[in-house]
Amino acid sequence: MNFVARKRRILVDTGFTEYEMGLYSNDLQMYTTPPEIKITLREFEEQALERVKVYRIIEQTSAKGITKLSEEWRKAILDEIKAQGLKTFVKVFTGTGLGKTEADYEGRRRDHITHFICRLTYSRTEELRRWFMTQEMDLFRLRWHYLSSEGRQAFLKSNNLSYTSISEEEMSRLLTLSNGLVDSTKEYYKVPFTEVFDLISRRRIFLHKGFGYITSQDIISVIATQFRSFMSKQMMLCSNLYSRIIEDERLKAILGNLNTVYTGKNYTVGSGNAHEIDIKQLGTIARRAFPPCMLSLYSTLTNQNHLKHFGRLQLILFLKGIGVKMEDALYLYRSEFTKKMEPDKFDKEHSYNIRHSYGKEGKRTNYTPYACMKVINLNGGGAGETHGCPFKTFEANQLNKFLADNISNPEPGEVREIIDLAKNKHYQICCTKYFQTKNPGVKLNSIIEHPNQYFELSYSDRNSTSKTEDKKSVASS
Amino acid sequence: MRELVFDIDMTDYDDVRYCCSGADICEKCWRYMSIACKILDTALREDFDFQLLLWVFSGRRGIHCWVCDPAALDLDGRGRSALAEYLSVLTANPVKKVYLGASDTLHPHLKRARIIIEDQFSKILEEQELLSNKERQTKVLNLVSNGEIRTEIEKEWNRMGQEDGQDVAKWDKLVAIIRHHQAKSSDRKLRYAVDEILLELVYPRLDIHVTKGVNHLLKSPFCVHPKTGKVCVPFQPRAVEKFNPSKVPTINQLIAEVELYDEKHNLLNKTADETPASETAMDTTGTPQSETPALKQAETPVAKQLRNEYKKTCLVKSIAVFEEFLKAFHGVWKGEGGGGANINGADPMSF
Repeated sequence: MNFVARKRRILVDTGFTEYEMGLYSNDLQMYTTPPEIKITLREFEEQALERVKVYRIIEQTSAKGITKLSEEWRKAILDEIKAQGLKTFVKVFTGTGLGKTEADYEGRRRDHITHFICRLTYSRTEELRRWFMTQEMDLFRLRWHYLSSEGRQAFLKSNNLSYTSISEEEMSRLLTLSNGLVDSTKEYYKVPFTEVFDLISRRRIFLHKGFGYITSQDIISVIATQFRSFMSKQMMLCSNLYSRIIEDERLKAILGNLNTVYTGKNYTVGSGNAHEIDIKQLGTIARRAFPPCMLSLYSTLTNQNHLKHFGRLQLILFLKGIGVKMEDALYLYRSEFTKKMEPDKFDKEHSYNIRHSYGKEGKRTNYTPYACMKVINLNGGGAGETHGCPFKTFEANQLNKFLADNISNPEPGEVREIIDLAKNKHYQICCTKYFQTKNPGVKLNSIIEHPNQYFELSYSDRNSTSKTEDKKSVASS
Repeated sequence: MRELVFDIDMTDYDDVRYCCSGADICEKCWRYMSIACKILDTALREDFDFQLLLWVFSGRRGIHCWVCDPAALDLDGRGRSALAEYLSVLTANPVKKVYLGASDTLHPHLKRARIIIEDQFSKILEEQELLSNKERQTKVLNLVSNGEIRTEIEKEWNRMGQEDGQDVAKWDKLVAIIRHHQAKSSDRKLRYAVDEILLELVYPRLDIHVTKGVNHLLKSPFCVHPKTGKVCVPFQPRAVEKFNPSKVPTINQLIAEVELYDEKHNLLNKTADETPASETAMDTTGTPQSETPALKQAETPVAKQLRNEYKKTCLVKSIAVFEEFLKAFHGVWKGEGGGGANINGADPMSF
């Protein structure tokens, strides 16, 4: 059709269609229209992954206790985005709004595409939707900060968010009514109270007869509310579409994994971070340096002499990652399992799987140890199962006991804090806090994202301190 | 769709009332409730423009407010939380404490609340004897954050001695001392020192979880409280001061009233067919005859008679309050195009 043809006409000087030029006129957008372009699967995955990294940076920055939306918060996020080499995003996130260079359009298009891919990915469950919305809202507010006055005006106009200024007569009435809350030197807009809930809850707004009176600085609060309610409706639609879209196996593989893809360091054996682990010392090492998820599996293995399937996998890959040799791992599992099982049965049913995990059987893949996201999403906690993340799977009293057993001399409030974090589903922050409590000497630059990262940090620390202790004891004797 | 509800419980005032405690309630502590009702009622009407407010005495120790405007019913969880937080000043973390220090101006809603409280505060001081002994004085003193001023007030109070009936005088002294310091110091923390105490002591203590959620059950108006036997009755917020919780009828009282009425009018031996007699009698009570059209359905004479039994009791006044509310309700919701569709049924309130 002509209509489509015209829409798709490419403007020679920029490489963007007229339609796209309109769509991408501003650095900030509400993502009302889905992108209609061809993209390779590789780009699809790579670009989406970059956006996932941005979300994680935002989440982690906020989790560090830096006040959200503060100058420091913005800087920390942008620095980290830069450090991870996500240049296109830096440009579009800090844009003033109406830039017209090709790079501007390119960045906006990438923002647009990746937003929609992630929207699909995170539409699957209520939990994912909530997480996605939080990060997108924070990102939106961060970006609004950098928009110029013209950029903001244009944004409001193109999204039909026209709020009326108030007349002088009304203004003078407000001045008397508002007890000084309305400042005569500022410009005010009148909006229905249902659009400014966050200003209402902090009592930061003058309300009269169902309307709130906001300054032009506070208008972001209104826009954010609009954006949020629009997005939450869209997310529901998306989640209905999701089942249809993943009928395409290629997309299913990408979308299904995107939210759990581990974006940090890789702990596969051979990537140069294995230690020499003495299997006889493993019990001591476990109590000292294992993260809770692995310690709990290790204790089950040694106390009950058995582990269920997913528990075996989770633990064996971790052990492989920290440097336990296959022979030693076999020895460990065999010596425990055979306390309750015929050695023959073990050799038949289990030893193959252990060799397989080490890449010595079958297709000989060197399997990667599970990252936190994977462990958390394993949904452990079924009958007899001890895999998964304890901060998620443990009952309150079980967690209490675990913390009491493993944290000696906690500071007052520390255990409480961890339990509260767990209750609020901040499992990784929980683990980070637990780590800090156990290893006060180690300075963490980020949150715990991988059980093997936890081990790296705590083991090397313990190693060096115990060595110095040894030296001291030698010197004093 | 769910009404926006507020729940205030007298037990939350236990640290500032010395007349009763726990589930008991008397005219003296009702003053706290009446102030709470006034403050909330004004804010809901003035700030949010709500009109359909039904205030109800729960039958034991609390009051409820049902806001039934279309905009209120439409509120989602975030909206309800925002309103609940706007309307509550006691922060529970780490201890209950009103803090107004940082802001440049006292929010108009809080200023209005303070004026309502100030108006009745001397009565509260007298009725509750808030400053009548050392222990009670210390409680109030602890609300003064500035240590120097606190010591000064304490000294002055000690000088005044411990005779009864000095509550108002002692309060005035406290205000005078704080005002004196405010005049000569520019300390921002001092600016609202008096307001903080007033709000801390008397500002409505909402159970905000009830307001925030949409699944919290509240006792329906006109049901009978299982513990006290009292009927859960609506009241007029503009007449809240005259409302006396101890005069609210119990179910037994109502039965007695019906029996007494029938005896007096010699109705005991008549059958249900003779209801016209009771209706004529009813007219003399001056009950409003306006009935909601929805209720005018074919009824058996017995049902009709039973439906009118309340007119023989003192509950008739409460029903009048409720009918006035229903009338306003119909007025507002008739204009609500599609949204009104579900209330055109027989019962406008889904109690």
